[in-house]
Amino acid sequence: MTLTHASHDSFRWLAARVVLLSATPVALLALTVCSLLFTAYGHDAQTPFGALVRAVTAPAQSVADAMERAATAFPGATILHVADERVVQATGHAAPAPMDAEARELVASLGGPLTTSMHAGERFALRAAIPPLPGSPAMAAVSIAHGTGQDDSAAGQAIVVSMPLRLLFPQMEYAWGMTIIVSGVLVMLLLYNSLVFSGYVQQKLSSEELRRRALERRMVEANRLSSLGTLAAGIAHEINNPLSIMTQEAGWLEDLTEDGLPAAELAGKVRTAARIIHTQGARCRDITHSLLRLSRQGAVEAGAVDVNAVIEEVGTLSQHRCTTQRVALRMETDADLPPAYAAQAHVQQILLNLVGNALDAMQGREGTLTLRSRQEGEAILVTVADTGPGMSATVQSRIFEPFFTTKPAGRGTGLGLAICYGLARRNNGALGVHSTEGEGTTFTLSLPVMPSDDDMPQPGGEHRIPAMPEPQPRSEGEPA
Amino acid sequence: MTTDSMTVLLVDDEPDFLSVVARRLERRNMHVLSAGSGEEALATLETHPVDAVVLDVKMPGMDGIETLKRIKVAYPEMEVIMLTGHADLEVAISGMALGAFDYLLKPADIDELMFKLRDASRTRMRA
Repeated sequence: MTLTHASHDSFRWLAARVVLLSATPVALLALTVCSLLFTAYGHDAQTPFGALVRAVTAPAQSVADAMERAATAFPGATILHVADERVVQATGHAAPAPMDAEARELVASLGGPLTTSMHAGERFALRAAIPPLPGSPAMAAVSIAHGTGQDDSAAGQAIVVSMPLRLLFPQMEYAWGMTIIVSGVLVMLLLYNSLVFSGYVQQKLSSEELRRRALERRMVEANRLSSLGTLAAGIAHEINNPLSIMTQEAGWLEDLTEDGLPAAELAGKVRTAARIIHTQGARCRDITHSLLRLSRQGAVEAGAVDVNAVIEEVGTLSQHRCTTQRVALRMETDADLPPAYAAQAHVQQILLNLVGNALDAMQGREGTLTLRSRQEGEAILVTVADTGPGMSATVQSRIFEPFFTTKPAGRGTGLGLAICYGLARRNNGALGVHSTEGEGTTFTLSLPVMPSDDDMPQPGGEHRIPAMPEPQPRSEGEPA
Repeated sequence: MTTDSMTVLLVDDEPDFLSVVARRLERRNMHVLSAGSGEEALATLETHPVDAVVLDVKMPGMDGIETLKRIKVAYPEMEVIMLTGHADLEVAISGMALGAFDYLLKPADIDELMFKLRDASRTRMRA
């Protein structure tokens, strides 16, 4: 009956998650592409640094000269003199340990043993900083041939220049700053949008919910009126019959006045006519009374309900249809039944619907309609059993779904049982069905027993049944 | 008067109704037979000559329309007047299509019924 079961707040959270989840892959993709671009461009930009270091150090006459030249050309850089895979000397900022190791690695990557026979700057290598963060250093190693000439110890010497990218590319910090700010703004926009969107969704849903509730209320009312309306046709006929008899008897009395009969004979005939008018009048009275009881408003308060009395009323009102359809109506009520705690109008509506359905099911065939009441533990059970054609398991599992109907188009709305189910739930009861194909169908309405005075939840014991069913989830074909 | 010797069969599921209408029609010099159901009416028609049938539309079991059909099959010349409540007006009209002579709304006026019965009897005489 209800379309949604969770509260709006969780819907809002869901909507926010939808936005965030759908944006996350896009953000990840953008991040990957950006970092690839940054890395590629950063690498390309650092490439000339190696050639530059080589050009600066090549003309030097000695190691000290080379270091001097490098220090002049690259202010702020750390210059290392590596010989025999050891850092011999460092200038500029004190070289941290990992830089030493990286420098030695870089020198080793120059390839082969460095010999004095090589001319200066014959080999050089660049270790570009990846990712190109402003603080990470670009490192260039150049082989040098200066030494003591014939001394083999001069072999394997190189100068390593390590320079942080922020000094190499002064604009880089600005670019990174901009990137961070723009991403931050994008993330905030995303969060804000998810907030706005989820708020919109929530507002939409709550207005939908209100509309749905209003619709549902109207539906319940329409069902009540239509189940009464179906009865009304039968009742009109039911009242019409005693009415025609009374009219004819009145005419008969008029006839008698014209005949000039002897007093004794006249009195006898008048008495007979009066007795018939009495009987027929009482018939009309019974019908109108049960109809009035049924349409009485304000009985939607939960209270003590005499289930047997409701069964009697519904039985009386359905008697005519039963007779017409040649269906035997049996009422087996438990005389010791305690009152149920429910709204009387709801119980009536449910039973009227069930009886109407049972009679529809037995259309065109003789049968028995049995209304039974009994107590079982803390529940009062009312069963409406017909001897109609029964239902298949598939139909049974869908019988309480809104708009599910097996009646021909234009005959059933498919709402009757859905509404009954909702009404039963609203009264803390349940509605179940058991059917065997070819044997008939039994609907069982269970209602809570009226609590005794001492364990009453509140004094007075009356509380308003919620206008709408509790938002409780109902799984398909729940046996109830 | 053509109605003097007229025999009418009343069909209704209400014994009280049958009794009072029979009394009133008899007072108006008609010979009245009563039947409590469609089946009973058909049985009566087999054994008694009848000039016209007054038939209630809504009866348990065999309803008025079904009874009308069977009467018309067995006695095509028989004039039938349908008695009906407001709710079954359409049924009564469809009864006319099936060959009913006329219909009357319940509660019916006895003079109106007499008038229609006379009418029916005249039609029958001419036929």
